Amino acid sequence: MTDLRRILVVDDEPQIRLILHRALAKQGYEVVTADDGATALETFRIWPPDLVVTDLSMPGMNGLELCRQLSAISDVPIIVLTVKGEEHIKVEALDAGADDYVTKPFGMDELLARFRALLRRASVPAEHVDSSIETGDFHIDLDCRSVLVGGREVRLTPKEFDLLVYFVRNPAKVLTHRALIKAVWGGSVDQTESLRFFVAQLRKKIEPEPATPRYILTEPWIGYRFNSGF
Amino acid sequence: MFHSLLSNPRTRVLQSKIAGYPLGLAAVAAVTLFALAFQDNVDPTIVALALLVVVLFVATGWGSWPALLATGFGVLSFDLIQRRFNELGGANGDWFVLTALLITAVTAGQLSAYAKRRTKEAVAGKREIEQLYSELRASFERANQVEAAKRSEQLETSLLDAVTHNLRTPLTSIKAVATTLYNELNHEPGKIDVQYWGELLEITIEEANKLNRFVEGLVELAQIESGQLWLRKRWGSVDEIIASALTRAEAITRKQRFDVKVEDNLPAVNVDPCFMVEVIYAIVDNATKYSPADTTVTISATRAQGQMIQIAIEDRGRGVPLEIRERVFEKFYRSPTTEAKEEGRPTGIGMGLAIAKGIVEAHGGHIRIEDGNKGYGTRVVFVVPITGERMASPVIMETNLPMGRFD
Repeated sequence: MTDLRRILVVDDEPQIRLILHRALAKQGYEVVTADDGATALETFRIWPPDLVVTDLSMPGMNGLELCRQLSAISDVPIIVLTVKGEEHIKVEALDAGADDYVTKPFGMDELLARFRALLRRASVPAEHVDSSIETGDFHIDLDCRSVLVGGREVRLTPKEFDLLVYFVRNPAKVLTHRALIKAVWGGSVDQTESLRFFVAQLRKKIEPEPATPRYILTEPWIGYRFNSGF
Repeated sequence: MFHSLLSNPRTRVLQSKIAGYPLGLAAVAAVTLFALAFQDNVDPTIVALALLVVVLFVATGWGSWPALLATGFGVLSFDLIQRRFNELGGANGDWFVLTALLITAVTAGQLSAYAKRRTKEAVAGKREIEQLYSELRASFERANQVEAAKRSEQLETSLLDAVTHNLRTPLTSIKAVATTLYNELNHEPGKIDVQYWGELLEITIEEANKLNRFVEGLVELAQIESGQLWLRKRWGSVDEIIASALTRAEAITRKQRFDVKVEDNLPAVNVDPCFMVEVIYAIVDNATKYSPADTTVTISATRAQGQMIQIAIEDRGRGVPLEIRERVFEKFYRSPTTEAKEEGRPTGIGMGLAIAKGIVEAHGGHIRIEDGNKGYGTRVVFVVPITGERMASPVIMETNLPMGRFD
């Protein structure tokens, strides 16, 4: 890697900024910190990072608002730091543009793993102009609507296919129920049950062991996360 | 008094309306008999006046009707007396006397009835006011209970917030450092970047201390609330207590100047010196957090009325708004403004002043917040009894303290 990956850390607690700064720098990232949303936005404009990690509750502009504003101007991956009990805000943040979350107190290995997954995803060209997607164990032909998982062909219904394509195009990030329903069903909410049903069907077809999925992972109460098997 | 008179059966009989008729007749008869008995020495004018007095008395006591009866009887008896005397001539005098007596009877009767009615109205009015007052008080009490319930709910929420925040933040730091260093060990065993490790471990130690302070505060608050604060009282001087509080606060008092004024010949006080130091420390800590750099914080100790010592700590900060002056002493209460935080200054955990209040009150003292000099800044004032004994219940103490005394 020629140039360093840049990470913007946003948290109002100085110690946490300091620790993240030191630990991430040691891992070879270039790090800049901000103590609230407004400062983070300013920093973002003059020093565009490859990834943003932000706390949710901060004085002034909070993390939720920061997610909204950032996703309006950029595709930068965002990880939110939450605490147990903030589930509601967490889902809101994910809907507002955050890609993933880590619950405080977090282990540094866990945080770094999320960083790597999101940065890897971001380094893959965003859209595929050609008619096929190839990622991990998956080979999807968009024209013929055929799917190969680990070289084995699976037959999917149109809805299952759409769902899988959306998952494959958004790897590593947490996809909320709402985001998935909107993407596959086109807006109408309150179809969490049908979503669960289609995910279950999809798992039966693509997962080697549907009971312990390795591709489509459940984020309890929030949604799903797709892992292509990189 | 009034009630006991009414309940006395004899006075009740006398007060009944019917009693006025026989009493009036009896009085008139008495006057007549007296006049007849002493007819040689009695002037008819005196008799007329005596009858007038009788009518007046009956009218005020029992109203117009018994008075009118007494008047009729009086006129008859006066006529009889006049005939006996045979001096004052004709019926003119009789008519004059009759008219005078009638007017007196009716007027006095009306006046008396009016007065009685007014009294009754006044009594009824008073009862009504009392009833209104008690209803009002009951509704105030209900409102207070609702307010108290709301307060305790708020307190629970803020307790949860405070606990989660004050426990989780240091915990997050500690876990982040521990996992970072653990990963280092796993990936590059034997290669330790001493400076890096030192820096991260230093943060961990500071965070662990923060956790410890928070837990200690929780324990102290719990002791105060359950009344189990164990005071080890000793006689000591106020200067020493202030001095050791400032020594303990050395790390946080570098930005402001401190001015200590202790009144001459201040008596020694019998208090728990450690806890008193903590009270002053907590107030000083607050003063340094909420007042600008290069300003002066004044600590003064004076003799106060009622065998008390008063200690005041005054800063030149923003001051505390009147409506939250009581609430800043509630545990975990933090002023709704986040100015200190926005300006990058450390914020408290909402325990210092609550603990200070608990300690002062455990010593039988009292603490409050006032405007600083010329309405600028914050002045935290507390008094403690010199003997360290509780003088009375805190509520009574509060009302006994004249409010203007600290001005």
